[in-house]
Amino acid sequence: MPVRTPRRSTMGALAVGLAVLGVLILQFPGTLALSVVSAALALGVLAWADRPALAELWRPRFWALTAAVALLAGAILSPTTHYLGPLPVSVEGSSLAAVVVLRAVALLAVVTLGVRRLTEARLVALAARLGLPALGSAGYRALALLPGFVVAGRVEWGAVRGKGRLARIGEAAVALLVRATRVAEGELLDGSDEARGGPAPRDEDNGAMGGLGAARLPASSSESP
Amino acid sequence: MVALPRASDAARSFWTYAAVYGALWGALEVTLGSLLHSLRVPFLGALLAMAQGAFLIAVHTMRPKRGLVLSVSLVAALVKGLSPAGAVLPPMLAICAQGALVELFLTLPGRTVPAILAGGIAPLWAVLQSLLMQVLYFGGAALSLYGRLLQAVGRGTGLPPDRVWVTAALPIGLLFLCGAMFGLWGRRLGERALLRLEGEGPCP
Repeated sequence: MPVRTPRRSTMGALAVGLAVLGVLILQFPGTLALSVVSAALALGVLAWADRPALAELWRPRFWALTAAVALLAGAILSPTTHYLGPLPVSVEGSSLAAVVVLRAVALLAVVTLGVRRLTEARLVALAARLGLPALGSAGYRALALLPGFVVAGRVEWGAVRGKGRLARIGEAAVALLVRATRVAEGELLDGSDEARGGPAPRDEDNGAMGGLGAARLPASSSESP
Repeated sequence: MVALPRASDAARSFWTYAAVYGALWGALEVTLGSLLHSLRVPFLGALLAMAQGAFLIAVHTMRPKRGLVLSVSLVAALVKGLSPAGAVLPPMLAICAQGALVELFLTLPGRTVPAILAGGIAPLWAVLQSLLMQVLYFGGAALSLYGRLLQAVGRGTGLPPDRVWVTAALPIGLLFLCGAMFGLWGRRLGERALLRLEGEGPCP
């Protein structure tokens, strides 16, 4: 069976967007009938636009447990309207619980669809469409710097000793701000060199700090005067 | 690494700083934020909002460029959006909205008052967004539940029914105050970082 990929045409994306908007709008009245329509619409969109995402949502035990807990709680805890044998139940409570479960189904379907479509390329393309191509590129650049900053955070936190916790947080924050500023200055300098036909940044400059220009920086900027 | 498009030096400088500071905040959101979310730390949204406010105010103190605070927030939200941990859409929305509000208040004249207002408003958005999400999940019933809770607190404290709003104003005021303190702290951090940078001299 061929693997189906998410639909990518502009009209398809527009239809999906409108359907998702419809799913969200249908949540507000909070009636059972509209919640059924909303959940059906959300699942229909998922089935049409991204079948593997629908398969991800297929967790029978999870949904059965969620529905059972919500319906039982709603039926028993709300004001009694009927008796099911000796058991007092509330039609109103069960109805409210069903609305909550259906709402969870609809919203989870929408979120799953959104998350699966949120790829780097799409974000960059979206930023470009909004007239902010630099934002997409800055996002890429930030992603490349991310692992380095995670390491740098640990390094700076470890370098600040012998102080109260709050002062330590402040000291580490200042050190990270200084380090980030130096990284930006370094990148701008590299860019200027490149524009003048000078040397391009070398891989070894990135060192163990994952692109934070550790070679240009002291091991910890908090050690600086 | 993808190079920024060829642009003017000012634009290149602007987006380079936005990328680097955005990556720094994104790193914190992705690591510490995700960890604390998974530990279900109470009031985490408000706490992260205060910290984001302080961070953005520090950035603004170091680089008072119009639009930089918002751009840093957008980049951080992109980074958060591409992180593999859990639900990312609500935090992305919060990072963007809080960045926009902080940017807005930092355009006011002066130094201390904008920092107080910008810091104070950030956690209020976190609470408002949380309320909106609850309305989205559970419908208008969530709001009436909070209304009843306020009335119950009002009865418990002996407040007359027309003064019930005081019970809501108190936690909101407290949040604003905490955020304002974070805002002032952020300004102080920015000044300290700036002093250290000046002490070290230009980038070697």
